[in-house]
Amino acid sequence: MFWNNKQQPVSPQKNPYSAFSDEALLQVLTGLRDERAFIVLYDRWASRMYRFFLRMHGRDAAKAEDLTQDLFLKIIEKPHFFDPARRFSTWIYSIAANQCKNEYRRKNILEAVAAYPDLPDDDAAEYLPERLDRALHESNIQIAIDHLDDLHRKVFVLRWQEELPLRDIADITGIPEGTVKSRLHFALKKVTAHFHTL
Amino acid sequence: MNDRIQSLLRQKSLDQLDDAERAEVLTEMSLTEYDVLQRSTEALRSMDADAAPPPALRERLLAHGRAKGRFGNPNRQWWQRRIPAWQAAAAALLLAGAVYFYRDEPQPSVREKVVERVLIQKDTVFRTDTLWRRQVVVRYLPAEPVAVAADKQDDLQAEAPVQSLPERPGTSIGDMPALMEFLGDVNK
Repeated sequence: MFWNNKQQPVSPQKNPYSAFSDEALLQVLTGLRDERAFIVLYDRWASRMYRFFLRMHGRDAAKAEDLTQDLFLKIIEKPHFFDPARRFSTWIYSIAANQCKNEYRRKNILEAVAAYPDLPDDDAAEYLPERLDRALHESNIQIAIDHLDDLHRKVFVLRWQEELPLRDIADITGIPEGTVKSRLHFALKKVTAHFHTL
Repeated sequence: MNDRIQSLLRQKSLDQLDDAERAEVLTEMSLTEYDVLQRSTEALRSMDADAAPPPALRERLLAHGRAKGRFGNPNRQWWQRRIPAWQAAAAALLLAGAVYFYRDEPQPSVREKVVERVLIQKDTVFRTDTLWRRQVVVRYLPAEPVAVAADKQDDLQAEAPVQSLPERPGTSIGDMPALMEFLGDVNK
């Protein structure tokens, strides 16, 4: 009956949408509203987006979980907002990037980012790699990312963590590809400078 | 930083670069900087590689979608499918409008019915110069003399009938001249 809306859990092997593309899954979600399509989408993207949020918010797990939940709620509530002319990956990163921007705005993090020290000379860090072990390096890289402002952090994470092509980053952030390149270069310089100060 | 250097950063550490690649890197940055960047990006990619949202999140999202009716059951029949509230409201509005339209059409108070007309015509009968009269004939006959003994004269008078009819209420014929005239015409 129509009020008996409960469905049995779908195992990945039996999910008929496992082979569908992301874009096709979203079409199914819009038209048939089949939750199995959502399950496939979630399983493909949840961890990835969770890590993106984790990186963008100083490895705050609770915040990353909240933002991941909000992101997928948007997909559940408004799958029809997806523009079939775009790729799903670009679309979902655009939503996630906007969420981050809103979150930064809310917390006014931008004001908290202190003036960063000037870039040191290259020679000053000649023996820097020797001072780093891997754990320390990881913690420091997070600190370095946290010191980036929103604009640079976004392109840095999208490029080096998510490994998206520049064209996609330009589409997600809504800025020209050349600007993405310059921001990426600046972000790399900032991260490098962070290690130089250690 | 050109795409070639970025590609090298993703693929090779400083130790793995050959002389040509090192020369290419040096056009953009120092080797130390390359080393830091390569380690950083590699660490960034591997960092939190196993991080994942808690499994309960998926169940929460699915429960939310079901509760809000965002998911349909593809095995349902068409009459079991849910429809958006605005569609239901529009259908109800259309139905109400249709009912109102047909109800508001003026209906005749007396239902017309085609029947065969029955015309009864009666001929008029004129009774002219017809006068029905009841004739009353009164005849006066001469009475024969009766011989009565002298000694019976008184008895005879005594035995004479006395008409004492009771008086009844009514109209005397003398009070009705028309009737008197009618009766009087008999002898004319």
